[in-house]
Amino acid sequence: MFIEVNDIKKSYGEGGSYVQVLKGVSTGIQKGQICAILGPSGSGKSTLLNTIGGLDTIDSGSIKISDSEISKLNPKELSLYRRNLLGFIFQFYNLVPNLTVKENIQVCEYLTKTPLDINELLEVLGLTEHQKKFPSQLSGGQQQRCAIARALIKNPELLLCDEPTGALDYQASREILMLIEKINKKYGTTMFIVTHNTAIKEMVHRVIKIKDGQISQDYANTVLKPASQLEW
Amino acid sequence: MILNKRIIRELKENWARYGALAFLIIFSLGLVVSMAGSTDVVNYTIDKNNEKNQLEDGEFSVYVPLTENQQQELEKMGARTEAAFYVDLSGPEKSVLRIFKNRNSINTIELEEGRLADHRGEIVLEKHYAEKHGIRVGQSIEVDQKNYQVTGIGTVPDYSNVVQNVSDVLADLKQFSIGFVSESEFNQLLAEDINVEYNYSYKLDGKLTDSELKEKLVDLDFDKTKVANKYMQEIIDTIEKGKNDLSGGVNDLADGTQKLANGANSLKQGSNELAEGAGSLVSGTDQLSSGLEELTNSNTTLNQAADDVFQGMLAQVNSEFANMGMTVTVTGDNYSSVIDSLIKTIDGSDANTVIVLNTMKAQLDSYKAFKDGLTAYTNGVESAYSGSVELSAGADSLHQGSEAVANGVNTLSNGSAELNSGMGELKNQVTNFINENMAYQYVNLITFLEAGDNQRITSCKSDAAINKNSALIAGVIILTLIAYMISVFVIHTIDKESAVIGALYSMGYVKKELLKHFMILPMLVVTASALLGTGLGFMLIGENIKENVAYYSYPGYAMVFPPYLLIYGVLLPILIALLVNYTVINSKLSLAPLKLLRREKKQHQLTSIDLKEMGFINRYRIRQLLREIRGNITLFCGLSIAILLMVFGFSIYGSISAYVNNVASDVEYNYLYLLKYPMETAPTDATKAYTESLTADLYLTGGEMDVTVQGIDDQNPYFDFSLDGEKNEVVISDSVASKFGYRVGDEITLFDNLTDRNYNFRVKAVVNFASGLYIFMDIKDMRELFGQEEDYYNTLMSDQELDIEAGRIATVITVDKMVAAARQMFTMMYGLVITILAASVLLFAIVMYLLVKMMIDKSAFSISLIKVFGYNEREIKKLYLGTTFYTVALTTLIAIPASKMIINKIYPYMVSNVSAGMNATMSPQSYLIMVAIILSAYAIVNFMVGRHLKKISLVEILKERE
Ligand SMILES: Nc1ncnc2c1ncn2[C@@H]1O[C@H](COP(=O)(O)OP(=O)(O)OP(=O)(O)O)[C@@H](O)[C@H]1O
Ligand SMILES: [Mg+2]
Repeated sequence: MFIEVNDIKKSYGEGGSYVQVLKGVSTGIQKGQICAILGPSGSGKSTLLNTIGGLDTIDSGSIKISDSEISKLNPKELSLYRRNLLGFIFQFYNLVPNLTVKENIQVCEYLTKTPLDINELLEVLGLTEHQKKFPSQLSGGQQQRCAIARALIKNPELLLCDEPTGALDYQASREILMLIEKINKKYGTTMFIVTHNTAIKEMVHRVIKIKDGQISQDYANTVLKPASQLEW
Repeated sequence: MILNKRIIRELKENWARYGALAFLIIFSLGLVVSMAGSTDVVNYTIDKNNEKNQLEDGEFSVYVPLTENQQQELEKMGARTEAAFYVDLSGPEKSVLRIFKNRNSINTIELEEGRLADHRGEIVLEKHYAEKHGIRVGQSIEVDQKNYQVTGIGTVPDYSNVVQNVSDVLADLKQFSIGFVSESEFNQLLAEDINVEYNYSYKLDGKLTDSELKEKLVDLDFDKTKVANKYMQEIIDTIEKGKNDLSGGVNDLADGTQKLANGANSLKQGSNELAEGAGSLVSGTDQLSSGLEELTNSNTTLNQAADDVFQGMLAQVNSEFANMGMTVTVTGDNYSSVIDSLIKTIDGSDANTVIVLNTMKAQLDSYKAFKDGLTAYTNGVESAYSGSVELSAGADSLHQGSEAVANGVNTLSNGSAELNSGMGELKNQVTNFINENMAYQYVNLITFLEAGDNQRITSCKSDAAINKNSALIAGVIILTLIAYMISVFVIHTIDKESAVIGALYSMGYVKKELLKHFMILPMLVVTASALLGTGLGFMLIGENIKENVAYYSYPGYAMVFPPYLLIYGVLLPILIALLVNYTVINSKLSLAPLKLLRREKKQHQLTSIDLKEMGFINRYRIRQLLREIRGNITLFCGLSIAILLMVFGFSIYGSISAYVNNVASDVEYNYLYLLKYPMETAPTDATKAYTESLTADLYLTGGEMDVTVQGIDDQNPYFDFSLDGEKNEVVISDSVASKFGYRVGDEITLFDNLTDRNYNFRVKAVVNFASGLYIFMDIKDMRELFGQEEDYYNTLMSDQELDIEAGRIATVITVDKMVAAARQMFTMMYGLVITILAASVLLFAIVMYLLVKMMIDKSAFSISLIKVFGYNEREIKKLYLGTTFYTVALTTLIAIPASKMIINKIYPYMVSNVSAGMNATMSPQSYLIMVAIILSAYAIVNFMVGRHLKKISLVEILKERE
């Protein structure tokens, strides 16, 4: 197993405002697989993703990535872990406003010694003609593609996407999903995609449904539907 | 790092903000560095010049020039002296030129142009004088109706402040200056002029201290007959005449006694030969009466002379008491008991004083013996006289019996015996008295001035020192403020981009990298501004010292770049910015990435204050104020500093204009003459007074400052306060009170540096008298205290100019000139006042603009939101700019009185070297003007920010989320 999540629990607040968000979640995922996390709003999807990304701590349980326990890392080791392994894609793209598309990608290129070829990536993501634009001059889909490029440039082993298509329309969403599929095939990147779009579950290797802080469904797809054929 | 590309763009987008900050840094550093640098340049130039031209360690003046031997003797002891005699002559346009001969090895002339005056009829002029009179090398100048060729123009280190009298408040470069001629020319002038000041400069080689040299000079013997000054000679003549009369009287007395002895012998013979015949008796009686007659004649002279000595001696003793600070008066009758009781009270506590008192008593005793001898002698003459009367009666009635004759002869020979016994004693006493006491009357030394106390030498340097220190301190305060402001802006940026930073953290960026990135811009701005500001400061030095260069007389300055100032101007701002920005940004970036992603902010406790009771607008404003508490506190600090500067500027203005006005209104006479040699009868249209110059400790600097003690009587028409009271009670001017911190009831001590004596006074009252530093006391008490005669005076006050021989006058003070000098000071400070006020207004406006704009920017989202809700511009302005008004109003209310208090405390130090009392005063109008400045700056900033507010678009809400 590339990723092993074992009985993790997570709660916020104290006393009156105490909430148990993750109530013992266990799962595992193999290298090169895409895993979709589905579930109603407030069920704990983002929280799970953030704990795997080392952005949030857990109360108990263990998270192992390539056999190393990340819940025991200190902040410095955590950022090193993220630097070496992770790519993040957010619902709101969080691009650096006064850097161009290319520069935004270069910001993360800087973090690795073995980056992907930036021009190829721009080409793959259809950003070549926009590379000199600033984020404010891009459409939402273009911005999200830029954010994906930024996450991919350092060729991460693990890509964490929190509602990558949440702010996009049908067409743009499908383009992004096709990209994700393409990247997974091309680079063998392991991916977690948190989404509300149930159509996505047909194109991924693995589907985890979360309800009220617990896994309610966890299965693997035997046949994958290409993203281009998804309808919703 | 590619991220750093955004720095240039950030700079471009916010050029106004960073430009204004850079401007503030450049402006304030420019001011501070130029101020401090000016001081350093001036000090360096002067120090270098002083060394090169062998500045004196001090100077002194005497009645009779030192002899060659004496100079050699002093040099052997460790004091090299060089004559710097001078005569004050009339130059063109009613000016006074003080002429010296060329100098050899002390205070040598630094020529700026031309050459020294080598020949007769040549002169070198001080540079400012030459400039003010438009005289150039090669031209000629008329001095005292004699033509001189100007061969050079230059300066000397002992007259860098070219004042005529050391105590003058300001120099008048057109009216008074100095010139140098060749030695032969000067000798010629000496031969012609009677009013020569025999001044010497000295340099010590370390073996001798200044005060030791002074003692030596006091003890130095000199030839009284060579005193050239005719007024001094008059005084010496009077004293010498008394002395001659006295010894002449004694000689006459000896003669008379001799004759008397002869007569008495003849009488004895006659008496013996009485029986032998009346003829012998008659001749004996004749001889006797002629002897007695002569004796009686010399008796009058003797009595007169003895009386002179008596008066002199008692006055001397009394003045010595006064100098020791004792307020006792001895007379010929009580001295013994008075001194004995003094010795008893002092005994043990002060051995020196006891010795002095004993010496005094011994002197008086010797006088007493002399007086007793004189009494014996007088008695003898009287007895002899009565004897001779009886004798003649006896001779007439020889027939009536020889018994009467026997009686007469008996009485006569008794008197003769008494007389003889007194005579020997008397002669000894008189001779001793003359030798011991009467030579002691004069000291050759007139003035003694160490270089450190000589404002001609020190004032150009000390002028700037305090300004420099306060400028440096003010600079640090302003820099810290600016650094903090910059960090506030950086935080604003970080807050705005917090989600992006969170995203970068998620990707694996570490804090160090981002910290470095966010530090670059502020550090760049500060470093560039610091370099520019410091450079500008050095460039402004020339402009800054223009006034100093134009007023003081020293050679052209050379630029210096003191290391400390480079450190201060470049490294310090960078360090401050580094420290402040590091601390603030570091704490900002320490938030967990998730928190940054969610734009979570630390909530201030203040924000949760319950505001239910207030109206919506006020509630909103207060919330906004609390939300922006950091910005508002920064605003408060910045505005407070600006207001402090403003108060400072207005205080300087107020203090000087008050001084100018008070000098004109407090001083009621128009002319004041200080006389070196007062004449016997003063002009009737003048009021007499008595003036002495003493020094007092100046607690502010730890140094000393001259004060003028003036004795006036109750009829003096120019002063309306009463001087009744105890002998040591004085009335001080408000100037003195503020300068030295004296209050009514204080015991104060003043010193006479020439005689090393202390005087104690008690302050009875404080009166308004702005000019100079005056202490007033009753003239009778003052004469007694300083051992002067009943009717002594040395000062004349008058409404119009008096006709007095120039040689008698030490100084003339005319009120018009005094006011003009005060005005001149005002003009000199005017530039500083304007600079300070301009700086304060700029600081005020820029700080306010930047911070208010930043706070608006921060609220751009909510502003566009409430715009979307349908609020109109006026309402939005009310909501967002209203809070600023609270801060500005609060700052004004707190900072103005607080600043005034601070300035009141600091100001005395800033003017501590001005020999006049000055307080930091601000007129009510100044307060009004200040409030008006603050309000208009607020209005302008409000208008500008209002325009910015208008520009915030409705789309803002779509771009950002909060
Ligand atoms: N910092 C926090 N403090 C307190 N509660 C929190 C915090 N973060 C998340 N929660 C709570 O944890 C629960 C799970 O949140 P999470 O963001 O994981 O939901 P989600 O499944 O991603 O929902 P959505 O689909 O709406 O994004 C929610 O009820 C939320 O209110
Ligand atoms: Mg979520």
